[in-house]
This record gives sequence, C-alpha cells and structure tokens, in this order.
Amino acid sequence: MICSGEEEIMLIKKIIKKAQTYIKKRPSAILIISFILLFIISAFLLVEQKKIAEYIANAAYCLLIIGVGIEVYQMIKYGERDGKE
Amino acid sequence: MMSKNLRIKKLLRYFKLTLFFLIISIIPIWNSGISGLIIHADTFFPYFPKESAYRLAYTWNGFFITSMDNTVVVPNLPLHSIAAGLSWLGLALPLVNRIWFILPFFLLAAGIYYLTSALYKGNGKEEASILATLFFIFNPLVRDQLVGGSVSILFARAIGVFLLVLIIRGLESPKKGHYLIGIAFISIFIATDMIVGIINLLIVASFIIYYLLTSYSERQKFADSCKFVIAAAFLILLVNLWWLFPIASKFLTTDIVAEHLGTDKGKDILYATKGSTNILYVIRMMYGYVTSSVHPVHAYERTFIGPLAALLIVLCAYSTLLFISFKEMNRYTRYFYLLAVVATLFATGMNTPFKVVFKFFWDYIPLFNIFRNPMKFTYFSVIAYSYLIGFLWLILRERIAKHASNRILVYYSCFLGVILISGWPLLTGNLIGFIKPVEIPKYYDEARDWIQKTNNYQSILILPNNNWYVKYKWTPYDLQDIAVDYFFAPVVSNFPGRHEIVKGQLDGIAYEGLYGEDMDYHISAIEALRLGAVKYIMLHKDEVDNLLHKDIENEVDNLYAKLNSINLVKHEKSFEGIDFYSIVSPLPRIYAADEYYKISGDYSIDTLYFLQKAGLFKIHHRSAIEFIRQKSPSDLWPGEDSQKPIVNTLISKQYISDHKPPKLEFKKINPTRYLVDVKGAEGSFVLVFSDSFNKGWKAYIRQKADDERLKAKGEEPLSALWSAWSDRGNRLEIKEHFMVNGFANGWIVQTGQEAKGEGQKAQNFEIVLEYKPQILLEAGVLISAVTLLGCIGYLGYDLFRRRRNNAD
Repeated sequence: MICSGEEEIMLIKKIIKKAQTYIKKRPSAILIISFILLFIISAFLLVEQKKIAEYIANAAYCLLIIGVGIEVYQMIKYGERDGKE
Repeated sequence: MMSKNLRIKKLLRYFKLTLFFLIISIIPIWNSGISGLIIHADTFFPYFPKESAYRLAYTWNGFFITSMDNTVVVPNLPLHSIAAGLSWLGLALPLVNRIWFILPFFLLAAGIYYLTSALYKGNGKEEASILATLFFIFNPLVRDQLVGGSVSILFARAIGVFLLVLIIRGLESPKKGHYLIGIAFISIFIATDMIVGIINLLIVASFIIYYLLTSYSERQKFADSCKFVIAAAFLILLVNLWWLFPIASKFLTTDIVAEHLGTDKGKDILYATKGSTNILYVIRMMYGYVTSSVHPVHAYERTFIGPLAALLIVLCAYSTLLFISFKEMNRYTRYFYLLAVVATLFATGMNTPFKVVFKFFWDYIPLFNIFRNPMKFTYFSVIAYSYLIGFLWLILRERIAKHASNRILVYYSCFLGVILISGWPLLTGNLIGFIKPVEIPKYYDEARDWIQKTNNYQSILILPNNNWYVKYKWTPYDLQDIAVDYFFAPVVSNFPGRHEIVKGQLDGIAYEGLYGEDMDYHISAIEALRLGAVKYIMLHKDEVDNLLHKDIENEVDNLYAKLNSINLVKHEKSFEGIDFYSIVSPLPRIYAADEYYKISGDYSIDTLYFLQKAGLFKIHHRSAIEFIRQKSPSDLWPGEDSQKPIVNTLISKQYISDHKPPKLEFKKINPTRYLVDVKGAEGSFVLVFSDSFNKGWKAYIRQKADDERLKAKGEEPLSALWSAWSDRGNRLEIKEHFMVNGFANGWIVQTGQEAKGEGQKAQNFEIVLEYKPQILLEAGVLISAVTLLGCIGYLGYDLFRRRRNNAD
C-alpha cells in the first residue's frame, strides 16, 4: 500500500516529467509562459512602481519575440504540418 | 423538399445572426434614447445630411473660408450619402443619428463574424466566432473611439475587416468572381477615413504577401492567387478613381504631404503620445493617459479591474502558442499571431523596445508619418486578438470536451465574462452617462433661415475665437463650433483643432485685431473683413467655460463693447443665444474693382493698420489690393510674426484702364462654378472672386447673346465635364490670376479695344469661374460608375448562365 504522501510525490514527478517533455518538445513555451507571468506581475506593479512595471513589461515582450522567433525558426527548419490543428 | 428545408434553416440562421449583431450594436447607445442628437467630440454627424452630401460631392468646400480645398474629405461622401439617403427616406434626424452610431458597430460585428466563421473549423466554431465578435465590439480601443466620437473611423475599420475577409475567402474559393465583385462594392467606402483606409490597405497587403509567400510551392494555386490579387487591386483602384484623380492632381501641384502631414508637425504628436504608448498600455489597447485622467469617462480605466481584464484576455490570445506550435497551426492562425506581435511593437512607437526600427521607418519610409499617433497600429492587433481568442476557445473546448463535457458552458461563461468586464462601460448603454443626446436650440434654426434670406454668398465671422472644442449652455459636453456647419454660409473661423491663430490669414488678422486693445487695430480688423467679403459678425452668447477656454463670459462682454464702439459695424439682429453685427458696405463675393493697388508689404494686421492710416480704405470703394510680399497660406504656421517692418511698406496704384469698371452680376451654379455676367466693359478691369486663392480656380470668357446670359442658369449643366464639352471652342482662359485682398482670387480681364483677341473686344460677355479639379472628380466618377455597372452586369450574366445550366 502506498501512502498518500508518496502518491502526491508520484503525481508531482509525473507532472515534472510531462513538463520536461513538453519543454523539450517546445523550447519556446518557457518563454511564452515567462512573458505571461511577467506581464501579470507588471500589471500589479503598475499601481505603485510604474518604472519597474514598464521595465518588466518590455523584458516580457522581448521574451515573447524570442519565443515566436524560435517557433518560426523551427517551422522553417522542420517544415510545417498545415492542417494538423 | 429537403433543399427547401435547408434553405429555410439557412435563412433562419441569417436572421438570428442579424438580430444578434443588431442587439450588440445597439447596446452601447441604448440609454441615449431617441430624442436629440449625439454629437460629442469628433462625431462629425451632419446636421443636414442631404446638404452635407451635396457639399462633399464637390472638390471645393465653399463654406469654410480658411480651408476651402475639399479634396481630402471628398472620400467621406459614401458614408454621408447613407445619412442623406436615410434622411431622404423621411427618417427623423435623431433616428438617422442613432443609425449613424449603430451602423459601424453592426458592420464591425458582422465583418469579424464573417472572417472568423470562414476560418475556424470543427465543433464549436459558432461559439468561437461569437466570442471573437464580442471581443471585437467590446474592448478598450472601441470604447476610446466612441468616447472620441470617431464614428467614421469605426466605419472605415469595419470596411477593412470586410475587405480582408473577402480577399481571404476569394483566394480559397473557386468562385473568385463573386468575391471580386464584393471587393469592388465594399471598397467604395475604403477611404471613409483616409488614414484608416491606408491602414486597411496595409493590412490587406500584408496578408496577401504572406499568403503568396506561403503558397509559393503550390504553383497552380500561386498563379491563381496572383491573378485574383491583380484583379482585386485593379477593381479597388478603378472604383476609387473618383477621389484618387483629384487627390493625385494635388500631389502633382502642391506638397500636400508636407502641408497636412508634415514630418516636423507629426513629430510633435509622435513625441507627445510617447508617454501613453508604452507596451504596458498598448497591449491593453488603451492610452496611458486614461489611467491618470480625471475625466469621468475614464473612470473605468482608473479602476484596477478593467485594465486587468483587458490584459488577461490579450494574454489568453497570446497563450495560443502554448497549446499549438507554429508548425501545427494553419496559415491563417500563424498570420494573425504574427500580426498581433508585430502590430503591438509598432504601436509602441518611440518607446522601448522598438524605437530604433520605428524611427528608421519614420525617417525613410514615405508617408509613414501618418502613424504619428502609433496607437493606430493597435487596430491591427485587435483584429488578430479577436481571431486568436476564438481560436483558443476551439482548442480549449476540444480538451474540455474530452475530460468534462458538462463543463463547457461554465468555461465559456468565464471566457465571456472576462471579455465583457474588459469592455464594461460600453455595456452600460451610454458609456457611464457620457453619450448624452442634445437638443439644438431653436434659435439656431431661426438664425439659419434669416441668414439664407439676407446673405448673398458673403461670409460670416464667428466670435469668440474657438480654436478647439466649445461648450455651450445647452450641451453636456464639448463639441466643435456648431456655427461652422449649421448656417450653410461661408464662414471665417479658426480651424477646429488649430491651437493658435494663424497670422497672415483672414481669420487670424480678424482675431488678432479684435482681441487687441488698440481701437485702430479693431478698425483695421474690420477693414480686413470688409475686404474679405464678410457681411456678418456672429457672436456666441451661449458658450460656457471648458477646460480649454476659460473666462468666456468676460471675453464675450469685451467683444460686445468693442463691436459697439466701432463705426464700421452695427448691431443687426439678436437671437436668444447669438447676436449678429453687420459690416457697413461689405464687398460682394464677386466684383470688378474700381481701384487696384500693389502693396510692398505682407498681409498682416500691421500692414492693414498702415493702409488704414494712409487713407486707402474708403467706404463704397471696391478696391483690389495685392500684397506682393505675401506668403502662400501653406507656408504660414501659427505664431509666425510679420516678416518686415511696416515702415518699408509702399503703396503703388496700378493703372488698368481709363474707363469705369463694368457692372457685374453673378450666379452660383455649385460650389465649384460661378457664372458672371459682364455688362459695359469698355476697358480692362480686375475681377475679384472672394473665395480663398487657389491655382485650381480658372476664369474663362464665354461669348453669349445678351438674353442668354445668366437667365439660362437652369440650362447651365451642373457637371463641369458637360459644361466644358458644351462650351468647346467658346471659352477663352483669362491667364493673369493672382492673390488679391490677402486671400481672394483676382484676374486682370483684358477687354475693350486694347485687348489682343477678337473675342475679348466685346463689352458684354460672360465669365465662367471654375474650380478645375472638379473635372477630374467627374471623370473619376464616370470610370468608377462604369466599373460598378460592369460588376453588376457580370453578376446578372452569371445568374442567367447558372439558371440556364440548371434548366438544361
């Protein structure tokens, strides 16, 4: 019998493994996630720390551009699979 | 039977959709009721739609004396024709006004639905399209446009969406002809707002280039697409020739770009908007200033919830890339994703991280300075976001359906909720009480009737000097001076939107003189107005202070005191909220001068003061004065001082003829053509036409029998082309055209025995004054009309052919 703590660890491990596979498959994803998180942070910071919020937002958008760049590069390199969606 | 059922089902679906679009278009103005007019800020709703459309059908305005060339607003004609058509059908003005607001919303909704429903695939595409539509209608950008009253901009944007979707559908469809015809018809409205028109073409061009690049490997498809694109471009060009022709002539004759969109002028706005267009604001589709504005209409932006919801929904759009990679996306999704990223960058203008690229475009790409307010790029992003939001829903829906299909509605409601929260004030029905209708006071109608009865095409000066929005006692918000548009008479006024008075122009001289403290300068200002064929001075007493114009009551009292103390003006008529003074012995709109002077000075209040002191101005004299150091109006910018000291000014009387000037009568055919009947011209004379000087105005001598002149006005064709054709061989151009009285058109008409040509020796003849670019407009109208008729003919032929094939 596996105790509930081990069950949770297993689940976390499973999620981490899944995430690793996902990030390996989609290297741009981490950049897009960072972009989203940083923008949410900057929205909260905007109330008190306008300058820092703007700085973070600019950095976040740069991450998005890099992420999109990687996607475009991969598409050109490996070809598109139009219509899969 | 089955096909009949299918058809009924299809019709029912269209009916439901139309009803849905109609409901969401009415919501933003629902609480404004149906009485009074919504005319805040830049609404430009025509108070008299039929007359407004008539005015726009001419390349010369004829009603606004300091800005007469109408060419750049002629493309507004199709939109104004809709209002005119509704008015002509007998709809009350408030109802036409509400339709004016509802129509662009309806078209925006229908356009984006048409776009997304064509591109989405799979289960839930209807729901996804509705999400996209609701986001496209209820977002901060639309809210900003509605607050600014930019109905024509919203309308032009809707046209852009339709154009894009027709191109997209046409490229993929085997029935390309039908889409081409749709493109031809929709493109009539493409320049309803000139800048949005260019943006629309940019977005379409960007898509076409992208599409052709991505279909390059499929040779047949590529060839077909190229043919379709070329045909579409030709059709758009041909259908729009009616306004492109006169505009093109402007490009050839004057530097219209420098005049209207000058790089330096644009730079001010570009830098002024810098603080409001950093990425934090742009990504939420709103200006930065709204978050710190104290105006009640921006109350929602100051709350935390509205901007956060807008940000969340945009981030949802960007998160599409987490669920599906570029490799797996279809070409349309990829295009819209890239469009969102690139357009957002452009919208940040001179802010980090894109300022170097933006500056490069600004400096080296022709016409790029139309984007002096880079927020205009946000419109591209909003189209892309709409598509991506619906698309994301399709992905999520598929996943939800796999695991918990009963939760689809819950998730959909959450999505919808965030969209509605981000666009909330649009759902209140009057933007938190901002869009209120106003009733135009009856005394404006009384004044209008009186002016039309007593004024013979002479002008009206408007006081006080309102250089931006005005607030009246009877309006809840600021609007553009009603007098500019309401009386249907030529108006001398500071151009709405100009911050300062322009020295060296009639309106600038009048304001400069009358607002000074020196009584002699007041008189000089009145003399300038007399020279400018101004008959009435109108004084608003119904204005109240606003943010831009303070202490208005005191200003009006001062103006009353000044006008009452000048002998050259007398109080003429009083209405409840406005007063009219008349200028003693005003010059007519068209006259033969009895004296002709050349002044070696510039056209300024100081020179006029000097001339007045020198006794040049005499009541009942009709002089023509040429200021030989005068700058052209396009060189004048606010705040510029007189160039030379007046001590150097010399007056030199010019010899024209020993004879008295002839008697003139004139008739106005339309704003671009006047007929002048000349009687008893024994010698040469100076003909003065008191309309802003423009090289486009031409004067022709036309020989006609005595009883045929002017009387035959009913027979004079309205069309400039037709008139030129019927006069062929009977028109002799008067070449000596110059600026007179500081702003007007003057010609030296060589007649009598000393004239060279045989045709000019007659004493009685007719002069045709014509604004030449009108001919170009009419030629363009002919070509555009033939193109559209050809399209209709093709549709008819196609229908006939299909029916015949079915019958066979």
